[in-house]
Amino acid sequence: MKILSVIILILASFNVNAQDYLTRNGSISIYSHTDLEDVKGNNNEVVSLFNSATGSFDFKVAIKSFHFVKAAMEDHFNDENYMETDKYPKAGFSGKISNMADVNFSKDGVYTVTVSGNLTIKDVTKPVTAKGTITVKNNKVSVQSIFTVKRKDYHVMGQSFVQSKLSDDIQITVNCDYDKR
Amino acid sequence: MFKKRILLIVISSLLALHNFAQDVNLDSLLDAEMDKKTKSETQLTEATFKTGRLINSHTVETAQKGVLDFKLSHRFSATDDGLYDMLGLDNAISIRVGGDYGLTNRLTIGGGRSSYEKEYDAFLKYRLLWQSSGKTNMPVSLTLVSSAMLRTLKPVNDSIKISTVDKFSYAFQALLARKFNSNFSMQLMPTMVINNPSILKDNSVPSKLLSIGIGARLKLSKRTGLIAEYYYQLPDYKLPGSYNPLSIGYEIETGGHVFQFNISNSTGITERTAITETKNPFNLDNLHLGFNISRVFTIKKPKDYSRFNSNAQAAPVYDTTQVAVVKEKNPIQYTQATFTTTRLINGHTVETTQRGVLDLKVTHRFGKLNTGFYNVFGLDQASMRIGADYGITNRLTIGGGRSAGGLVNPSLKEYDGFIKYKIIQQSSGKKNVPFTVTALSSVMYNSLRETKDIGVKDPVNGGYYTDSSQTVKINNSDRFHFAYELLLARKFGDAFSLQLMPTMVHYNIVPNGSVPNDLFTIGAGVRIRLTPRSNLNLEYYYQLPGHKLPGTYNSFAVGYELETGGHVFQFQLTNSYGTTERTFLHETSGSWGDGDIHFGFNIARVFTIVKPKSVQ
Repeated sequence: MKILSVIILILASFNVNAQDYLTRNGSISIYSHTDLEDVKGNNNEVVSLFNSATGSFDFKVAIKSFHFVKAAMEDHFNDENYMETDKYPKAGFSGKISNMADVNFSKDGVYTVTVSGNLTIKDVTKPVTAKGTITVKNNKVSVQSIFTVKRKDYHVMGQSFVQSKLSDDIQITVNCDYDKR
Repeated sequence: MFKKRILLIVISSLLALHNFAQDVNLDSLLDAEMDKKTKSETQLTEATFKTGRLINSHTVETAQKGVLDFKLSHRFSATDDGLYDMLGLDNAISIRVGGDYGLTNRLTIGGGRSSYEKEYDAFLKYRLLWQSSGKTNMPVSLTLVSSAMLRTLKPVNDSIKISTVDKFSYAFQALLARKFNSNFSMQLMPTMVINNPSILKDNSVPSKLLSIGIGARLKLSKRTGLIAEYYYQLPDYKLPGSYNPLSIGYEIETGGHVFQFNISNSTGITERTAITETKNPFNLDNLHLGFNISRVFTIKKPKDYSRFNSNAQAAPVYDTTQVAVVKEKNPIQYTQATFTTTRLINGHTVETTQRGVLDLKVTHRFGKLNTGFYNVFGLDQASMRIGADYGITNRLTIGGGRSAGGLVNPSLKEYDGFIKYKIIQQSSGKKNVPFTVTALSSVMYNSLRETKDIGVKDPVNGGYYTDSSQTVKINNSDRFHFAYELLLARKFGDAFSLQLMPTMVHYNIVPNGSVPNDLFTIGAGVRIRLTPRSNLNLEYYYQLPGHKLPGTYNSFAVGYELETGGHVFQFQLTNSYGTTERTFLHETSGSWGDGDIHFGFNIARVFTIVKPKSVQ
């Protein structure tokens, strides 16, 4: 009897975890647009976890995994004038989807969600709210979101002479396909 | 009791459950992923050295595939005439212009032309071993270099005949390097230089010259390093009277640029001249200042996003409509980049330097094209200006420089300083201003020693105009010239910008009494965009009637400029040898009609001195 209840409880605990969704190769892109220059970088090694029961939503990225078409751009991105990757190797987001009730994970569809939380870049944490979509298709779940952050909020200053070529507003695109955990 | 136990189990399970959920630590998950990636792949050691040359020697580094690495090296005369010749800087006795091109990431071909002994060189370089860690562990890099040199300097005595074959020399090097850590790299360079025997005066002199070199780089800061190289020539395999070369340098690297400053007892830059024919020992009397500039250009773009990870889910999609949402209705939009940099070709543009930015300017004007192929159409002679602009505010720039005429015009030795202010900035939107207006005031100081050969070159009699009343004594005040310029420009769109520049130059003393002390010109300049990164520039200054010194011509220049990041490269053809207002506006001695055209280039490189202020 005792053993049975323990087993039931353990099984129940697995059941709860089945609401966790995980990816190890999500994609986050950054984009800066000015009349003089466009800067585009992409990172395909994003780890992210969200819980369909609580709506909690977490990301972690390694900054050095952002890649740019131009090697020089990538060097600059990681150097002491921009991301200081040696000092701040990771960035992360931790938040919650506010309208989780609108999403039906057992039914195919595209659901619009709002996520609010804290974005940490270079050890600076700022609240961010973004709109995005959760797509459920054949039991697969994917998340897309586009939002904009101010780079100077996170002390990404850049060289004096590039200020006219680098937008203050950096667009961030999130694109992750999740697996059930 | 039983119930209590169940409760305990439930609680502990719930706790366990909680812990289990906590177990998904994204940090450690990310670390594990990165670690897995590191171990499954081979990491080639990057940047054992910053560029393909240490100082004179090759390094194990090869050019990236499809990349052209443009190399410009200068060695100045030995530092014996002190400050008057700016420690030798006025006389570039050895200039090498060349390029390295990456056929693959491991195979580089290259070549160049040195003014010292008028030498051509070509080489092939292959990286046989590449230091790496991860899946494949390789402790060292090994690069093989094979080069051929051809000297074309004519013998002093015409009766000496040297066959073409004997003008060739060859060099073979095996470069073995290790990057010990991110701060220190070292390289061993066993070298063989082969001369053809018949140019050697004496049969006892070996034709195969052997030496062992050692080179190192010590990182000083993120972008700078100390570099040194030394060759030991084997006693039985060296030219008599030659010394072992030692070179010490300081290098600054940013993006695609490497700047190296060095001192060395060798004059040449190629293997033959630098390693085996150094004529003086390393001591204070025989040191040559020098610098190398290396600038990479992408010739063939990489085919795909191969730098992007292969397990990409999808090519990134960028939604441009969401960016830069303009909240204000009809905001003021200031026109950016009417011109690419603060100089069009010889003259200033309306552009000022951004606040806190130092813009280093190196300009060269080579000898006239009509001096023929032997002098590579003037490339062996160079008139140069080294200077800088600094942005005190976004509108106010100060700057200065030093010009030396070299062999192009030995009487040019000049310092200049200027102040430049952007009064009106072209804009659209709420505030519509059709053009930009910038005012410039500059002062030039002629530092040529007191000699009668001062002034303007006389095309009729040769020599220079002189003031017979004071052939020797030049009053200090007479050495000054002043220029005032108003620059009016409009950017008509990305494709086209136009600028008008009325200018007055004041001579404290005019070399010829028939002209006033204040000389007026009106100039016009255009920039025509060819591609997003390159432009065609034209510049013409018309000297008003009665404001023209005899024997001078109006300055006209055609330029092509390339811009990438913080660097601007400008190539030009002009009939002017100087780049200050006095020299190019009023003392242009060349005529386009006679082929008196100088090839030249300007290199502009910006450095951040004061960082932009952080908000909040």
